[in-house]
Amino acid sequence: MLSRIQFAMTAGFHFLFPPISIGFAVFIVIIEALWLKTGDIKYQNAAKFFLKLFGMIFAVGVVTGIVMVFQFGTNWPIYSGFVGDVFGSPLAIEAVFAFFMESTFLGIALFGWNRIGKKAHFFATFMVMVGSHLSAIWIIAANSFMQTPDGFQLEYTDPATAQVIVLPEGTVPTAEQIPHTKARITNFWEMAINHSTLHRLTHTVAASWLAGAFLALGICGYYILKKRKDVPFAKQSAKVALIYAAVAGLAVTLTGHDSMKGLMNTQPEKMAAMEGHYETMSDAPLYLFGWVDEEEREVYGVKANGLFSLLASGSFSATITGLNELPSDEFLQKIQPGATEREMADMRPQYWAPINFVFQTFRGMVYLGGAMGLLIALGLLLWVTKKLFDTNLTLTRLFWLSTIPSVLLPLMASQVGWATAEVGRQPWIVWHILKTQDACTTTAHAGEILASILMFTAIFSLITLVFLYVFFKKIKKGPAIISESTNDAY
Amino acid sequence: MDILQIVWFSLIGVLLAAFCVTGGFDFGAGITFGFLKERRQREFTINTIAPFWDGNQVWLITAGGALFAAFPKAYADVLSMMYTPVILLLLLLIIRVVAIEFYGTEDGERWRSFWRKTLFVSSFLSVLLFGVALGAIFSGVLLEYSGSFVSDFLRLFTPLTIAAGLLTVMFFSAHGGIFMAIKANGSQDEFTFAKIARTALIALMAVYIVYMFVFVYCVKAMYFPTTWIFAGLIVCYIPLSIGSRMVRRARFGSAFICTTVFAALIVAVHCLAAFPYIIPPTGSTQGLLISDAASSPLTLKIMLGVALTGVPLAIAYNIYSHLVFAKKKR
Repeated sequence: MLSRIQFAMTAGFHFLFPPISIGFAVFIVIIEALWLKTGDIKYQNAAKFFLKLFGMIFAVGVVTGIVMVFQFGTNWPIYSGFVGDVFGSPLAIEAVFAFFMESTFLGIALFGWNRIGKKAHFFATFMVMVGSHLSAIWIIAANSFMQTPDGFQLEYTDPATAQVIVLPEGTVPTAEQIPHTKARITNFWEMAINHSTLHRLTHTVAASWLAGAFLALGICGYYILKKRKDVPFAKQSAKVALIYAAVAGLAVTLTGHDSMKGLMNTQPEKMAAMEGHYETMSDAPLYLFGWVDEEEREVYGVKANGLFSLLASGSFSATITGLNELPSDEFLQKIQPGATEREMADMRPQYWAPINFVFQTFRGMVYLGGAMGLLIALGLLLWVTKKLFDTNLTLTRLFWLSTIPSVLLPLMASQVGWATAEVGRQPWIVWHILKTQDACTTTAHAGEILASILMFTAIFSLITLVFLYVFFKKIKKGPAIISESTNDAY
Repeated sequence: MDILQIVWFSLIGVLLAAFCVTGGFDFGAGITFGFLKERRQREFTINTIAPFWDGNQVWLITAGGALFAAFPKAYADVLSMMYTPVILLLLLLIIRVVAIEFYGTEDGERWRSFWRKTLFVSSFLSVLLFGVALGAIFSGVLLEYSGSFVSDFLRLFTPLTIAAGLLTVMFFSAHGGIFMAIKANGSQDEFTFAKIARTALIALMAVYIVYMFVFVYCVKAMYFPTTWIFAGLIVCYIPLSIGSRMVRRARFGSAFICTTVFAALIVAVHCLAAFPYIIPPTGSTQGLLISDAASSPLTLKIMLGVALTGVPLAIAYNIYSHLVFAKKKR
């Protein structure tokens, strides 16, 4: 359990940074492309300035990412041995193809302004963006294997006879079998591009864009409110950020809906848990907000009948299978052949995720998304009515004022969204194959893990504080940081 | 044993050597950084490694990822049985990067001095721990797991692992010192950096001689005749002695090639000594055979394709970046 807390904590902290850097990279590429196209020096300064901030975010993302690469081994040795044949390759591919590209070209983009030409510099920035997206692809591919595993077979080595038996497809190995069973890859592309990779990838990338756009918007908002004369690029950048946010917001909504439909096919238990949906019925309700009583299997709250059916299956009258019939009879029969109806009903709850938790985190994500949507809509409205930069107007001031704390909205949304996806997968670490509790035994002592939690907490808090201090200070100083200090001295 | 498994065993060695060569100079620069007295020289060091540390560290990530994909069992054993040292190493890596990033963001003396010390200490300790960990894997003490916290931590410190730790620290320092001497060539601090490079290289040679004795005393080769391995160790000394000549003549570029060759050779000698084990056996443990740790042939094949396309690309980016920063500013 400690080990799971520690992993969730380090992963959560890590996951704050990559989405911003993915989204922010796209923003900087747009800004730099505008510079190349228009030749306007303001855009160049903007690109230089934003790259400096990007460098900081990326650095923290990298080091916390290193922790992730090694923690599968430190915390999940059983898991690593079980799926290493399948799961290791996307991680290694990410490092080789994406990480080298991103980090090497970032070095050039950050420090090479005076050493290479315009186009070569744009190329470097562009490669940073490509690298960050490639890295998202492979990480999501690896994670999606845990959600909807495919392209592999299970091989059981009989400990007594050392004979290797290929377990039939869909077998759920028992706790005794697990130490002697390995997932072996059979088809790389089926594994990497499995049933949920594309849905989850598009949704994650779109959400990352939104995070990048909101960061840019918030920074520009600060300058616009402060009427900073030394930041001549604030207004132009703000417009770019606003359009970018609108596109990203639309993409998040569409891909989110897509993911939901995908979940209905691939992980119906998770989808049903996210809605607290127990009874199989048509015209299934969607709760605007509520509380799931997991004992009574009842949801209290405000509901809109039929909306869940509509969103998930495209029609009000569509029948949605509830948790009382999930996981399916077929699946339960594999675990306990010949189980009666009653036995199966008793077995089901142990295969459910913490229902109220994912119910709430899912709602959290959607409402945070809604808040961002409103803010974007307000910004566009002000723009259309030509009042976007009229800071004498209260509404405009209010808009820019709210963009500043709103930088946090997409970060919070991606944290709760990620929690919904990963907690919703429980009790499985690899969906319908390996349970988390069977995989999390580790050789480390409880005291060691506790110590590591404490150390990570201390270091992460320290980093967060220093990071925020320096980050705010850089924003406050504005473009002056481009020429300042040591980094450009040579 | 399958040929693919041998290829992958060598590739892990290549990735490890690549990290020692690339990461070697920025970690080493972080260590020699502690011996610089002038603020100008410190800033010069930070600025010189700033564009590179990121890409360099990816070699370590790649080695970790490749170990996971190609030898999952070894990956799981190595990391879970050295839980605390690995976590400490990871924390040190985080702190080090934070120090590089934050050092230059404020001008105040206290701020600078805090991050300066942090950078030095974290570079030094992370390299030391890295060397000890490699020594623990190589000597097999890694698998001697008793289950009690204190003795488990202490088991990692044997004469060989301590010597390996010191050797790694000295190699990184010398390599980093020479790299800085190349970059400082022609500047007013040329002399300071040349002196550091010279001192570190001499210290490395001394430590290496001690290491050879410890190695001969402690290590028994598994497959190849032990005398060959010892001969290999002596061959490793050759680039060092050429390197010291180069450093005396202020030909730091050639000296850098010498330390690079040394890193490649020393990793190769250790891989050959351990073969066919990935974690060699000790008196009380069985060790872990390459063939037992390896992934399926299909995964190894896929990963070989990945390595053959990806690693040359990565090297190309690296070279391009070094070319960009070797040029003078426009």
